[in-house]
Amino acid sequence: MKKIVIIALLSFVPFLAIGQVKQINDILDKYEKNKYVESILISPELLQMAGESQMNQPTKDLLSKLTELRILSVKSSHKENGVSVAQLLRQDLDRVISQENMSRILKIRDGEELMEMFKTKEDKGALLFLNSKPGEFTVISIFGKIDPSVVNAAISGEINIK
Amino acid sequence: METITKEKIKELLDSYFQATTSLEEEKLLRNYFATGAHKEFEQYKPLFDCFNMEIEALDKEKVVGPKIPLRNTRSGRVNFMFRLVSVGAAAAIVLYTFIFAPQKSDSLRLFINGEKIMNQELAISMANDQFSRLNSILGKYQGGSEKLESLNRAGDAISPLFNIDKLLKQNRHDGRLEK
Repeated sequence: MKKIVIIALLSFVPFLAIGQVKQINDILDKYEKNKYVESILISPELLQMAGESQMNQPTKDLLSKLTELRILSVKSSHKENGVSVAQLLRQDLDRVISQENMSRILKIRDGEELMEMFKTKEDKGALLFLNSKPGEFTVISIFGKIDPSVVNAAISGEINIK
Repeated sequence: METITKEKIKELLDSYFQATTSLEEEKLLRNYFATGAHKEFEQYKPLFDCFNMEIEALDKEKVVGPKIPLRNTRSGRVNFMFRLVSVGAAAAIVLYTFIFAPQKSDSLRLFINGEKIMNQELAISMANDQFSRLNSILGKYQGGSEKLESLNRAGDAISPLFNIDKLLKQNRHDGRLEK
């Protein structure tokens, strides 16, 4: 009986990670078509095709672990119903980060600019970069198998588009 | 035991196929064929053997008792749980496919101010700008962490000198260096 319960619980563990990724994607989808938002979604396959000749093997290996890159950027001055769209987006993301117990890996303040990096608990999840600066709020999401090599690559600035 | 004659068996068989035999007579015929029949009546043996087998099975059920539902036996419980788990797994797969699975996304989506823009180069260029900005902040972190590391290394380098100085001061107080 114990074994069956453990198997049943283990079979639901993958759904926890999928739930986190889905929540983040839902928020990004919600703001994607907002008239004050710039939204980009790029698949790693497209990046590989675009930079095929210039890409080295470590970069290709890194991209093979990723499933999607999403960037959302909104000017702080834009408001909807009197509330800053950037603030609403930040609140939604903070809620998911708090609910899903995402780990904050890095926090860098450079003058008035603040950058925070969050990671989902499970490896198959997402890396979130929240960048706040006067006038603009940007979210960069990297989805896929976020193992230590991907985190190190992100911190070292090895994830480049071109 | 009374031996039954061939003629008697023939008579009983005729009555049997006319459906006029009594239960006792039918029992007699079954017993006759169960214990071995004359060659002349061999063709009827399979029929009465079949009847005998059925009767034995019915008798066994009466002795053993009513059939116990599988769920109450150990193997029945295991089979039941396996069926339950397999149904659960199938349900999980359906849930994943239709509810939790990330929808197949495009390889590229660019929205600017709510309008979809079909321009791959622009999307890549904008994404590149954002990542460059991110990497420049991370580059400052790298610089900061390198400074910390160099401070640590400096600290490690100074510590033996510090220890020697401490030793020298101790010796001075003890008067060892006064000579």
